[in-house]
Amino acid sequence: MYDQRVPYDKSAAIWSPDGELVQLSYARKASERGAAAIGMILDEKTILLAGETLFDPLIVRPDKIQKIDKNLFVVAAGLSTDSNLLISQARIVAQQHRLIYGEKISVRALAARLGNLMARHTITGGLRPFGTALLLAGFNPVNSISELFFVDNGGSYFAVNAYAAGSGNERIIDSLRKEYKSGFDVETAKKMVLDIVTIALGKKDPLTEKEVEIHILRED
Amino acid sequence: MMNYPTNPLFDNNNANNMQLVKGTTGLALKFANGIIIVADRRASMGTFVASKTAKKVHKLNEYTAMGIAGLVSDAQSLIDVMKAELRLYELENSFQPTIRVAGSLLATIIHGSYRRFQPYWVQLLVGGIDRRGSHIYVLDPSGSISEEDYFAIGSGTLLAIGVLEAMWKPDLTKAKAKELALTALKTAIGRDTATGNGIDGIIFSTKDEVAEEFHVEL
Repeated sequence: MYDQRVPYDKSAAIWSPDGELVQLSYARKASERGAAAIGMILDEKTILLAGETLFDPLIVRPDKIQKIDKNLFVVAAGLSTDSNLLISQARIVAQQHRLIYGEKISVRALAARLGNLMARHTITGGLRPFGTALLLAGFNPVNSISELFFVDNGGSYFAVNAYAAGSGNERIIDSLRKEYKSGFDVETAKKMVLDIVTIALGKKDPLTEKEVEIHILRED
Repeated sequence: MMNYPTNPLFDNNNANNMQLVKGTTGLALKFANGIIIVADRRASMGTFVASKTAKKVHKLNEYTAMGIAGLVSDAQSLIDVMKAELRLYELENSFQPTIRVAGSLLATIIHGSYRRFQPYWVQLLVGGIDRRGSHIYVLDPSGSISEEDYFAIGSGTLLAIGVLEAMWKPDLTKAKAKELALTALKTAIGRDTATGNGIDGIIFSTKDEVAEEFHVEL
């Protein structure tokens, strides 16, 4: 006879006795190993997205902030192959929405579609959760007001004013919680984000826009 | 009308099957603050009056309606699907679908079926008011869609549109719009044997809280 018990972290579809999905915790760890990603609503018409890009003189700097559709952007933190899969899926979903309904998809609907896809990977045997968390930014199709959504590795999604994913995410979120208020102007917000990331990641030299890609979304 | 030579059910050259294409007249037009859709109540099968109380103007939600002509079962099925789809859209997006969303989704469904040789045998008018204003879209069995200020569908199209063509102008009042719609439809009722037995209509206006549905006995 051999031991037939299955370890709780063997599959994402198995619960631990504490009610935890251990594979999902591992997946979150994977995204925390990825470069930091930050999103922040500055005011009703302006959103800031920032992503730390690991500097290497041999590698052409990849785009951390990716476009999904007109004025709809995502910054992902975690395993880049998983991020690429989700981003290409997001682009397809966005264009499908345009084809079927003749209008651009809303940030909420896109977050829901990606969240459901990611959740599916935590309840289906044989699959593993995504090693990626996402920040989706865009504007409400009805009133054109800024919208920012966080999508977790397990697929839970919620609207945020400011949030972070990737390395140092807990410390960055703590700092944002203390310092965030709506109505920042762009320069103040950029400086604040660079300062927060520098401190959270314990860098000696202050980070600049060379190491942290910053994108400002504006609804015209 | 188009021919579908691969599908004898819809072959208009086959006189025995001509009765599948049902007669009716429906029309829609824009006015200053909204839109109106009207249609007759006769359902015909060739020369036989199959119903004197057919409902051809249907509300899809509080601010969108659809006028139908063609195969009744196809149209009824599309109405049911659209009511469900518009409710789903509103839940998933947390805002109301525009008239364009309704028209675009219908065009997607109808064109998909047409491409698979199982066309929806319908002409449709989709109209209403949304956050961008008032809109009327016209669809045919191939899934084409166009936005119009005024249009007519069904066997009495040419009669009704002749009246609209001569008398429609932008920024009509609601009363004038209703009067024009009834005049155009009555012209079709008078000269098209497949159209008759009273009029149903719906008016959406930005000045009204709810849609005005009405019925005119002839």
